Amino acid sequence: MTAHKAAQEQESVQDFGNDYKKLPVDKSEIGGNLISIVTKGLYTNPLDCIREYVQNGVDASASEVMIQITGNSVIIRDNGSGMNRDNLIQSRGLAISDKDPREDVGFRGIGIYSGYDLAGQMIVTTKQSGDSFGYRMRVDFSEMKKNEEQPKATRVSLFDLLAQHTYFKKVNYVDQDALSFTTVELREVNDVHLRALSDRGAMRKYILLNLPIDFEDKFAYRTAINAELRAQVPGFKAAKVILRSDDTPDEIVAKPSIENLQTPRFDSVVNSKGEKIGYYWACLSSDGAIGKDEDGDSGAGGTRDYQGFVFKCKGFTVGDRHQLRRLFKTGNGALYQWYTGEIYVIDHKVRPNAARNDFEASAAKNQLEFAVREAMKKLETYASTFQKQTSAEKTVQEQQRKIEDIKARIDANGIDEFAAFAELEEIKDKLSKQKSKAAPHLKKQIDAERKTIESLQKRLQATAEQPGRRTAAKATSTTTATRDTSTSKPANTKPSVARTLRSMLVTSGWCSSKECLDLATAIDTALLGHFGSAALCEPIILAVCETLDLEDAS
Amino acid sequence: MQADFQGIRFDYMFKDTQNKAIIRIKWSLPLVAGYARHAQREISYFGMPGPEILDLAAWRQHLSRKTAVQIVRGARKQREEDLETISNILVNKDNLSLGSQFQLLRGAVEDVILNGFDMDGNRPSMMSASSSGSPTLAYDIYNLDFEGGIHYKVAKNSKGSSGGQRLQALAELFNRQRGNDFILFLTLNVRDTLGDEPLKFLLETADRCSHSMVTEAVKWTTQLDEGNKHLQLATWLPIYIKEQAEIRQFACESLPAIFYEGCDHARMVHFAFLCKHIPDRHLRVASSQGYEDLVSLPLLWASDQVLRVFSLQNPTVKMTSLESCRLFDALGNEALANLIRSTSITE
Repeated sequence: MTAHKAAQEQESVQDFGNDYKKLPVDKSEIGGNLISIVTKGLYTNPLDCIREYVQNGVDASASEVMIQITGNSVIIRDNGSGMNRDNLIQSRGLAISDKDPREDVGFRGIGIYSGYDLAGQMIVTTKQSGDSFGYRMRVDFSEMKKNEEQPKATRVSLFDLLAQHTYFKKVNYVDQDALSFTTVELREVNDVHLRALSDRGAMRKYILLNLPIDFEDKFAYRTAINAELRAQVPGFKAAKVILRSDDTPDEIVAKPSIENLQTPRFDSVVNSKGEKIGYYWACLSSDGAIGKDEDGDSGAGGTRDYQGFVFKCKGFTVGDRHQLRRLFKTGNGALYQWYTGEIYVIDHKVRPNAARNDFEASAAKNQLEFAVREAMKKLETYASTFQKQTSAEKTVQEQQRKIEDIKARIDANGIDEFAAFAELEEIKDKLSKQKSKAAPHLKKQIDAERKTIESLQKRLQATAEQPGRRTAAKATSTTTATRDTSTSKPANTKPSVARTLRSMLVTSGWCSSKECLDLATAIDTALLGHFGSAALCEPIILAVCETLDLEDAS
Repeated sequence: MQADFQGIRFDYMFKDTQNKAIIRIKWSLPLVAGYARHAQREISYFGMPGPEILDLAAWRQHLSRKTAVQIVRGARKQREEDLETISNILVNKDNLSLGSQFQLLRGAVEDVILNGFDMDGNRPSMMSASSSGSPTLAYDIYNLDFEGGIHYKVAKNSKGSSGGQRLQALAELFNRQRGNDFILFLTLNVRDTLGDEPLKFLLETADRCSHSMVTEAVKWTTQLDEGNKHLQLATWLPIYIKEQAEIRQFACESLPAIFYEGCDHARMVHFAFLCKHIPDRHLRVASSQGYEDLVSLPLLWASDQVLRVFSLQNPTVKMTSLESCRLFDALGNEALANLIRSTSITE
């Protein structure tokens, strides 16, 4: 130690006094190994490094990010706004960032070094639109890493390390003024990491699960959802990611287009104080569970992976799409699978945990969970109503087809009035049951169909009461009968429609279950088939009714 | 500001770049387009596009897979220069929307052809294993640019290099491409370290084929001085390529060579060879273009944004020889017509 330095130290110690005193920090107090310590601790998966560079692109308002692996290089290029000279120099800094945590995905100022452990060199080339030139920075990671191997005494400070191994230059671009981009080239990526990064499937899945990815262009609600989220979610960004390799065509990684979705529903997630702490979009499938027809494990990219809801926090996915299923109560959460949607967390106090599989425990998190529970309840109710209405609609349509069929047979004079009357009665019954579930427009349809049925029944009755009228023989309730002229019915006999076993059961209230009524219809049909005439069946039916102590409703 | 072919601005270019651009656009592009049309598909490229990837940009609409090779030399300064070129290639291919199916290999192009992999052990994307021997390549276009000449001097301590790798690689290229037709564009600095070997080769060729035209052409060529080395190169190299092709079962047709002034006044010659594999043959094949046809091809000259016939020509040259190139039939008459149109052939 020199005499001068010893004197300085002595002075400093003497200056301490009894009060705290601030002392200047010498650059040698911050070791160059800090980069290695920070990056190795934070980026354990080489794909995390890709995430960091894509994030930077998204923060620069990129709509498209390309990831390419060629040779031993990994290239991440975005079409964002690019950096000017000062921004680029600043990007070299460690844990210093101008980004706004409220707006930007990344803000810690570490991400640019996420490739430190992977590569020998990093070259960042950037250009802003309107310029005929760009800037390039080269960081020699391999040279910096040599510092770690040095004996402690000869290791250099972080400041010196960055100064010694980062280089800057200007790059001219002819006729490309309109272009803006940033390209990060990670050069001499080591084999182990290169293999991991070359796994296209793993890369795709990682990107879809972790990054703010846009929808496929063909998704019908892409524009609507993006516009709404841009308006409602501060800092909302979404990019298209393109995966590129040497020998295969480009692959666009985008949230898939899902068929048969209803118009998206949007709503705020509000806490007990009425504050907006989240915002969601939800699309209900008109076709039941999303991706239900996909084979087995669809893998990332299949629509089944998009069943239900997921939390998004500054573009990141937090947790997975299974975690909210429990909030759908009916049928073991069956209706949850009918939805696809995302819940964007707006409350800055709600922070994802390090593993990003949940949020850090906090009062804000609890508030969010309560609010989301309410939102999910509303969505389930809506889905349930929709499901019932859909079911009612299907039933009504089915009955309408049956009515049309009967009407056609009546018009063709090829029907057994007795059986047709009973069948219409059954249809009327089914339609009545749908009325409570039906949407308003369907209720009107049901009323109209009931009137049609009554009118048809009147026609049947009138036909049956015609003097000299012969009944259709061998008729069944569902098929067009062949007219049997050999069996005649007494001219003054009212159609014995009121005395089918089914109608007896219905009017007496003895039984109204579907199974019972179906059984009665089957017996009626069998009797008619056997005796060939409703009149001949009647005594048997009356006998049965008597046995059952049923009142003769006729 | 001046805009010229395909919107490429010549006013920004150095004179040498302009000359190369004329060849690339007026000469090579119709060939590339014709080949793609004939193949009825986009075609694949293997070459040395340089930092501005100008050839890829000019031919882009016909290209699918692209393998770019960039040398990375050992000396620190050269290494930095070469790595900088790689960065430029990687940025520019996306600036020009050429990034899809783009592969970058690092190393000397001759080593990649000879070894089948680059300095990092990466193989060309259109290389595949073959049951009958070494892996094959299946590119449609090779664009090789040897600014240092076809044969170069190597340091005494240089391991594994004799300076003849480029010639070996050209021969090996025909082995690797077996089964696949291709166009070979070759640009050479007239400078080489072969001494009088090319002239000996020409004289031996003349002896072998005993054709008066060839004898006359060789006699004229061997009397040329050092200042006309481009004329010598334009005579012997097509013969060398033809022979290498034919013994590897390729019919080969050479187009007229084009002389131009390159960077730092380097004298450069550009060649184009149309190579068609003849299947089910094991011995040497014969190209329809004979030795006498080769020596009748004129030397063209790219200068001042014009392609013209060079002022000094071998006495055996026939201006009509271009029209007799039969492999053009495969590319279609339009390609030939475009070439003739683009050249001031009557000058």
